[in-house]
Amino acid sequence: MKKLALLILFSLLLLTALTAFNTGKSIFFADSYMLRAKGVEAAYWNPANLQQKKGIDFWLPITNLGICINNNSLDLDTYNYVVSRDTLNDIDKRKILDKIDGSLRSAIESNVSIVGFAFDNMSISSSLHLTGKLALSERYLDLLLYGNTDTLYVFNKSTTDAGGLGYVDITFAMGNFTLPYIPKTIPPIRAGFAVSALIGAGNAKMEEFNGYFSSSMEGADLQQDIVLHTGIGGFGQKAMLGLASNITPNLEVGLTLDNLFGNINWSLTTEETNIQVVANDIYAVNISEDFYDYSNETLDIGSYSTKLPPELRLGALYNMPWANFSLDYLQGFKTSIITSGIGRFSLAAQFLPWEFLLLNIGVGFGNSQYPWRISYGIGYYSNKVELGLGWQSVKNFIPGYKTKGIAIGSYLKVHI
Amino acid sequence: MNKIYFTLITALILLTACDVKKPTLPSWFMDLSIPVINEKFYVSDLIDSVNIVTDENEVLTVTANGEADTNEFGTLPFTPSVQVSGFPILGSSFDLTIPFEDQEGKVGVAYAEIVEGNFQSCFRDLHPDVQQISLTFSDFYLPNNQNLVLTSNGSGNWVTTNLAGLHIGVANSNQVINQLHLSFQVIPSMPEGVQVATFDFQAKEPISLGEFRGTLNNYPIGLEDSGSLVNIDYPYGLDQAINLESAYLQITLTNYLGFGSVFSGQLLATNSSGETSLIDIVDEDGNNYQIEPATEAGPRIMEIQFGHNVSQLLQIMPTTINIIDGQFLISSGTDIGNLRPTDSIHIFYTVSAPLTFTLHEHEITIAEEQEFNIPEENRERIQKNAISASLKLEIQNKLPIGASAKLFFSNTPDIDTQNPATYDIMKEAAINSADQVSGFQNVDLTLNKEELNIFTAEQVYMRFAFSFNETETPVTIHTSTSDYIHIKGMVTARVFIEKEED
Repeated sequence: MKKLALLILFSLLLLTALTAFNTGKSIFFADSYMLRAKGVEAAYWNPANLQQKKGIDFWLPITNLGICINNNSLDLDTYNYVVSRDTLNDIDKRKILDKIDGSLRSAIESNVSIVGFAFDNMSISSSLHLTGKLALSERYLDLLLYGNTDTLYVFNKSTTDAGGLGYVDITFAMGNFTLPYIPKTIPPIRAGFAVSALIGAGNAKMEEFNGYFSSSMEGADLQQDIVLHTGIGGFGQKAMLGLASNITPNLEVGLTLDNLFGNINWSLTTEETNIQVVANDIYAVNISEDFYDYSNETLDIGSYSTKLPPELRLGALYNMPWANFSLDYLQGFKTSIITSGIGRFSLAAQFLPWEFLLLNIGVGFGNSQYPWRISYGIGYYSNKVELGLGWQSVKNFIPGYKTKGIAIGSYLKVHI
Repeated sequence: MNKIYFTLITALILLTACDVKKPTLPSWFMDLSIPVINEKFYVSDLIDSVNIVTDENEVLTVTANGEADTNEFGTLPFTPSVQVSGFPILGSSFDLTIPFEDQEGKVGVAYAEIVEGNFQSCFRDLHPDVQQISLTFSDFYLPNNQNLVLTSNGSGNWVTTNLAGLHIGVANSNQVINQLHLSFQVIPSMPEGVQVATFDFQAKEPISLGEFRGTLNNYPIGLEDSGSLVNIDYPYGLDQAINLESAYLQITLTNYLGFGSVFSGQLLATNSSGETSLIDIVDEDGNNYQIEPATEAGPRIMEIQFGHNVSQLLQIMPTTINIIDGQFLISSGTDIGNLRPTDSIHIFYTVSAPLTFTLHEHEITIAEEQEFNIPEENRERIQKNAISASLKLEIQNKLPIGASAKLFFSNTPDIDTQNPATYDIMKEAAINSADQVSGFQNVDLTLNKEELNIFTAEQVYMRFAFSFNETETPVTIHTSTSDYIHIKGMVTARVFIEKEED
């Protein structure tokens, strides 16, 4: 029990909350990046901004990287506090549980460039996306720390969940099309599109999670039903439409609609695992080896799909000679493993103390599914090379003891 | 401006240099609540239809039964008193009648097989012209149903005649033979009035009769074994704590004898202290029980109910009940009966004690001491992880009796519940009767760390003692579906969770 508890707590602390990000560099700006993405990255953020003036923009393998890990409850300070205690008293237990709002949620996402290049008003690129999430009901931890009382403990998918998704995209994008028939009184509007072929590596999705546990004078009852779908090998597609316009010399606005027709169909190996544990009217005096029924059945099932719900993103970017500022709003149409149905804002600024030095800061405003975060980044810019390193702190201004999670990102682009 | 940027970047880098401590799991206490039991123990579950039954009023009744026999009747002694001396025999033929009755007046023979017996006869002073005298016994028959005939040539000596194998009278006769009929024939014929011989005859020794038909009067038959009829083994010395209010003794008699009888005797009850109680076996009117005779159709079966005074015996909570001076007295008067040597009276008895009783305050200690072997793994767990434990019971007692129980624990055997030095801990719980508390009653038994340490030894011994709550009036245990004890139990244990040693 002890090792299991340690494993769960440690895993939850390390795993990250669900935040879909498209490229590593967006971490520098807390995802307020829609109008900032240029070159290959524009294919993932707003293809309307694909406009190479000359040469080719190269995206080198692996060097464009983003990894985000966080959770909604625990921080390093809490971790250090817990591991430094010899014995947890009731105050310590309360301190841990008070940090959890119903469910300890964590997720991990990574985005790794494979290759990409952009030229003229188009790009071809490929990247790897890995996403995983885990949610554990607060009541499990309550049971672990305090033990059980004469109460009905109910567990369902709203507070306990798990899932994972891994896929590679091959994306072709074209942009910088000026929309026709726009009145001259209105600034020109650029348009672009991106289409992606998705090669699914693996998927795990908890379809059902229902359970309860009670222990009283009337006996102990336990039931847990889990239905898990897993798939290996799949194919799918998605598309993105983007618009952008410079409404003033310094102010640019844009809009994207991503994940259009988004879907990955898993067909190579697909299984459904049904796990059921049932025990009723358990008493110490009548307990025996078969006091519970346990079944674990894995069936081959037909192909199934992972839907990628559409997302609407709105953005604005204001440029100044020594700095620029952006504001993005993201609204998913449905919650999924990579999207959120609850809208959120993000705000970012980039300062240029020197022409070659880029200093970035961004704030992602949170919601009930997405903890707020703040990003910092530093980068180097020249006509031939761009590189940078950024990090993100979740629910704390600085990555430190109070951080609920961190993200790191890097980028390296070569322009020939 | 550039300095500001540099300072900011440096500060951020330094602030992000967090100290992540080595992951070591702390220990903590947690309370586990484990339901132990939730069961209704119905009184009716005690019924085994053999020793514990329910009567027509749904009263739990303890019953015991057994059987006994009288001796087989055997041979019937018949002792006639016949003495004939110097009887003159005149002429050619002559008839003589002799009284033939039992000396004690108990036996009247209508028909009987003679197992053993004899008589003596003598002819003397024979006339010289007489060659032979024959004597015919009209009431004695040879196995071929011919009359017994004796002949004599007048030697003047006593002749003993063995009667074994002969029978008296005619089968199925209803006429008691109280006279013997003798006929004399003289060869050759002699003139009337001439004394041809003098006859002597005597039959005074007992004759053993086998199959018999006739009358028996004032004839007693004792029980084969008038020793212990009922042995009552009270578990755990329960007899010291209760007084049964009533009990019934039913005797089923199977009478194979063709004679009725009067059953008499006494029941002697003796308890474990040697105290005794004695009652007569009589009916409610004080009369002895009459046993009817068997018929040709078969034995007579009779049921005798004792109820009105058996409870008197049980006031002393006897461990044994004996029949003393038990006998069946046959007095048929002039009524003809019959019997065989193998006939007897079979007794099947049933003792029923409805559980209506008065309870006394008396501690009952279970004689058997329980011994538990605690596995080493569990001993270590208790020692390391168990901090305290409590057993919370909710008990609904639907019975009209209350009790308190004591549990004694020790790491050494031979617990003496009266000597605290012989045990380590004692836990007590009390349950009131349904009359006092109709709903659930709470019982909490708590063991602290020190008390739990008893279970860290390899051997644990336990002894159980209980005492009933005294009742002023008799209470009755019924067996309906609403008579039960409902026990719910929950163990709550505070356990210490810590990293397991590798």
